[in-house]
Amino acid sequence: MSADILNASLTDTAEAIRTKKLSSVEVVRAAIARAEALQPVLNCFIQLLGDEALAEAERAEAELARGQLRGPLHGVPLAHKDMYYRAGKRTTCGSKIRKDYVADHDSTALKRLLDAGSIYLGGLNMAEFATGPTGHNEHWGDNHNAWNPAHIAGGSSSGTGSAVAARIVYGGLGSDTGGSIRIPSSINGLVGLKTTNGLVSRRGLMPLSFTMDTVGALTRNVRDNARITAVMAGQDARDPTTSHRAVVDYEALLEAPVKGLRLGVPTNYYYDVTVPEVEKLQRDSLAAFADLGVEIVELEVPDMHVPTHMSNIVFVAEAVALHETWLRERPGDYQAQVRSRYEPGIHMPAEKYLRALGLRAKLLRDFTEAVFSKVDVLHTPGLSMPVPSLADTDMAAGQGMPEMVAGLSWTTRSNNYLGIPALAVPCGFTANGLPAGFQLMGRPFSEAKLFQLGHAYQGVSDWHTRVPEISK
Amino acid sequence: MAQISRELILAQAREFGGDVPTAERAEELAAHLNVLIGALDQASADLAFEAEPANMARTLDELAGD
Repeated sequence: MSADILNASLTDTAEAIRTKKLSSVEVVRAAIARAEALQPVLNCFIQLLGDEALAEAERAEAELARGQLRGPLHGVPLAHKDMYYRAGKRTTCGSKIRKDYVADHDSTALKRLLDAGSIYLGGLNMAEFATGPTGHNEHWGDNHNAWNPAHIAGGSSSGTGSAVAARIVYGGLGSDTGGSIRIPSSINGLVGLKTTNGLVSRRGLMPLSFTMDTVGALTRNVRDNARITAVMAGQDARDPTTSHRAVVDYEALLEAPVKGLRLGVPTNYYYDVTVPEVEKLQRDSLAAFADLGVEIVELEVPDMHVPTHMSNIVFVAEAVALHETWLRERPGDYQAQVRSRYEPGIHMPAEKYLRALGLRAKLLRDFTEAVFSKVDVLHTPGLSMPVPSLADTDMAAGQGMPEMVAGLSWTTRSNNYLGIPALAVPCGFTANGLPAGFQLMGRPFSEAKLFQLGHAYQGVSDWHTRVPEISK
Repeated sequence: MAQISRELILAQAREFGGDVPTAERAEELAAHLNVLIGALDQASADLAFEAEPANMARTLDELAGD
């Protein structure tokens, strides 16, 4: 029974709770039971808050009995990367340095999800300080993949990837500064959205690179992601970088026809390092889009090494600005890989950092003109390679680490510098039995179109309905 | 601009405090930074004098596709 409950989608579960066909308490109990059963295998939770969640579920049920519905997530358990602050509660950021950190304010994104009725099941494992694409964590233990625990869960939102894939929760927040939502989404067979910079408030999110950090969700299907995104999106007076644009009802637009939309396929950069079996899955997904009446257009994109390099300049400078004191006083409390990723920032000249930021708008214009004047959306691999094993990617700061990080984020990193949205969608499995995905990118604030295309694809494919053995 | 050197990395690291890199690591860091800075110098060669970081938010808004 609990397997059936937890394998349903977020939106179906919310509807079943709203119409009292299902009790929130029953759902939360099932989620806790599965979380406890799988924790020794996956290690996806840093803080599992079962008692707190159960009390909230009882409150949600009592509210419904009184005819009170908080919002579109009423009674649904979610769990989030352990870097979203809750006033007075512990948030570890996956680190030793902040293992007992208690914030004095709430994350706006998380608060909006709670205000919409969702239940907080706990804080999920993650790469230390959201830095790392694999899910290795020396402080809290490595995170394992739900499809095969010998493989990585991806990062940095590793715990959200494996907890959602393992059907412990229906969705959860990650954060994306260079691919940290999309990489674990592709690796775990999930839908993950890197939002347009400014769409969702970053207030109360542990910062890593404040001009490139974005908030978004990992879910099992596009509709669920559209719902969570709509709840979180919108201006926040406490985050001056949020956009004033009206929030779009993404779910209402999901069924809009996709016939005639132009989907771009890059002839350069994105497939340079993509292995053949991953490329085949990309081509298969493009064929499915063509069958839906979407026009497939091959095109040359600008040299993506440039925004990728620029993102690395901005990232290291901002990370060191944030971590300066700890890097001086507590260097041994960082994992070697994380410390080595920040280290170049100590030596990055200020004028280069500011020039890289000044160049950002120009490169965004150039990219938009080169790509989105010809197509509506760009389709690329989500990950260029089959999901690697934990052992193969366990290299601390040693030889090969920079190449490994660059390889895993080959298709994702430039988006954060350009500020544009990107949606990861599962599109099959490679020979090692692990998931693969594609990525859809669009103009700024074009999330509705990305959801629309991703939803249409999920209407003619069933990858998102597959369940890992561990959760059957 | 003059290239970042291993010696500069080591001098700055001693000034900064914390872990000081080995000479080999300093060499790697210098090479990495020079690649990034070289790419920036080339890409921004014709950047307008008035370009500033705050333009990004306005540009996202102008190019919006919602």
